[in-house]
Amino acid sequence: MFETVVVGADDSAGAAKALRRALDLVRTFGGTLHVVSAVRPKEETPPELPEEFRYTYVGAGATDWLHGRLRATAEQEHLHVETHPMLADPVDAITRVAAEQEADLIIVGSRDDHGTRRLTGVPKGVMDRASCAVLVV
Amino acid sequence: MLVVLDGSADAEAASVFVEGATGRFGTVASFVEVAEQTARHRGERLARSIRNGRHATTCLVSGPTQGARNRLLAGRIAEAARQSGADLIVLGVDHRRLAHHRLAASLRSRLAAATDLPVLMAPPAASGGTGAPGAGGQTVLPGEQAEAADTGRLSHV
Repeated sequence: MFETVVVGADDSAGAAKALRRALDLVRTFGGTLHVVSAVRPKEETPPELPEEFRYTYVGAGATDWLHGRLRATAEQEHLHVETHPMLADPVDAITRVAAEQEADLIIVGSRDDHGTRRLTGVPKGVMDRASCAVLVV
Repeated sequence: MLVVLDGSADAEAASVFVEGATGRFGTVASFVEVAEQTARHRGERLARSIRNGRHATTCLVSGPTQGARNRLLAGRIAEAARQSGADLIVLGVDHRRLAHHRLAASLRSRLAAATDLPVLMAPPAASGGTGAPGAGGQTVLPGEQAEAADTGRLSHV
């Protein structure tokens, strides 16, 4: 049903729930899960810094750890998971990957740090710009 | 799943999307059709055209402002989902209804606050994603998508 699923993930509680849901879908239906973690570029990032170092430069350690864990889980459970660490606006990054991969579904979280459900800029932005189905969890 | 439809092109696209899902997996879907008092004739006419022999609950909301109607509607959708034991809400309504109106919160924001269930926004009709997932609907190129955003189609959201 959903052969290509894109999920936005960071170290927040809302994203963790979205990620769990996305992994459940891939376990059930197969297909490929694209995990997008975007960090907004800082103005003080040296412009001459190569792209592959910029992501590390802005301190995305938690995301790197998350992607490492995901890759381990995928290997263990034979799931097809691709990670996309990006230095970009999260809405841009998620919708860009979804368009490039011709995604059937995008999953985004909607919980703040206190666990309260609230639509913030990222899920709203993704819903506005996505051309595929969007699941808000 | 609980499927919320109005008389818009987005609703028809969502309807096809849901049929693909239910037909393939035998998912039980219950339907809520939305009509507003301020646009009663249009709502009733289009609701019949998408009913397609399905049993559906019609939800008629009225209120002085779009915000008031959205608040009522979100509460009723959440209640209908609770009563039907749904584990997913599919929103197939006009994207303009999903946008906030002046200072009033949008339907999607109201609904997110009113229920803990996951909410699926069906593919918009404009994207050509009217088919079931994986059915190979028309793909919108990134350039076209950017153009739609630039023209302000959803810039007020």
